[in-house]
Amino acid sequence: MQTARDWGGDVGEAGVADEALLALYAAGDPAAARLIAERFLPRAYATALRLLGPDRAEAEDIAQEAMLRLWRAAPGWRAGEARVSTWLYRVVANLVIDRQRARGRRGDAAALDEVEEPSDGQPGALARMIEGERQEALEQALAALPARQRQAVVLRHLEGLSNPEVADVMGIGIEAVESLTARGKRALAALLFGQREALGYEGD
Amino acid sequence: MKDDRIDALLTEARRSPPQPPADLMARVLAEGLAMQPAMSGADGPVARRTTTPKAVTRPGLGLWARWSGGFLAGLGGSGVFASLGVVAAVSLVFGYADPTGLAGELMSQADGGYEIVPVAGPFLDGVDE
Repeated sequence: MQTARDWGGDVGEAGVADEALLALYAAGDPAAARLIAERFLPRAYATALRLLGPDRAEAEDIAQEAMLRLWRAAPGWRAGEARVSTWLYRVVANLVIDRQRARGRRGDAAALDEVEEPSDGQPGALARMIEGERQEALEQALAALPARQRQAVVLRHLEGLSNPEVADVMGIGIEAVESLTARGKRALAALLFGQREALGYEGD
Repeated sequence: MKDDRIDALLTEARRSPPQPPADLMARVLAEGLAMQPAMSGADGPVARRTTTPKAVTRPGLGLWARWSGGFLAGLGGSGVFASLGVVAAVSLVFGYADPTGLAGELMSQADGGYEIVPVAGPFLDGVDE
């Protein structure tokens, strides 16, 4: 049998390349299914959640559907044709868009002023609470962005994809990705501006 | 708010992504195992799918594929047409060939008409003896 390195592609923590994992799964290796789920489900879930906003049940549905499509695609996967992670991000992004279109929703996140102010407590606990509040505020601000900006910012800055990878997932050019992420970050700054004191950013 | 604050927020968020719930992981893994082809032997992987995949329409066929698929399914599947084809071919052979011999074996002429001679009769007679 070919080794994982022979197949190329991303090499995960288990030291097996993504495409090799799919090939092992297709060959019936029972350990491969677990490795695939552990490697790809967290990405699918986190991306879906960040693109959808705070609806965890919907994010679970989309992550599960994306993984179902990956299980189906695995036996026919052709090495070198597409990166598994890019393919999965594209599936998740499209499922999110479909879901949002179906519900006629457009980034209707909760209002930023609903973020609770941090309460008093120990310095360490307060810092953690402030960090928690900041992340919650960021999630809500992300959800308030226009869909394409949100997609670009999440893929580029939260999932850590390169600009060409984001361009591949979104089906647009690299310059468009750069423009979307720049505008997205400016919009985030504007959305969070009113919360800066509550979030411990005094003086900004 | 300053850009570096936004960058720091995004970096922190990237370091601590939301984790999928354990029951979601269990469901996904169960689906993966159920859909996984069995361990390959000499003849390659053998499907051990236990869930029914969604119907896949081949590209380019569109409405025709869906209509004809439904039509065939309504009649009992494409096997029905295969059986009808065999029957038609055999009928054509009987129609083309002289059926006199066959009629002579299975039927006897009586009063200007034909009556059916039970083919099984001689065998049953033999059983009685």
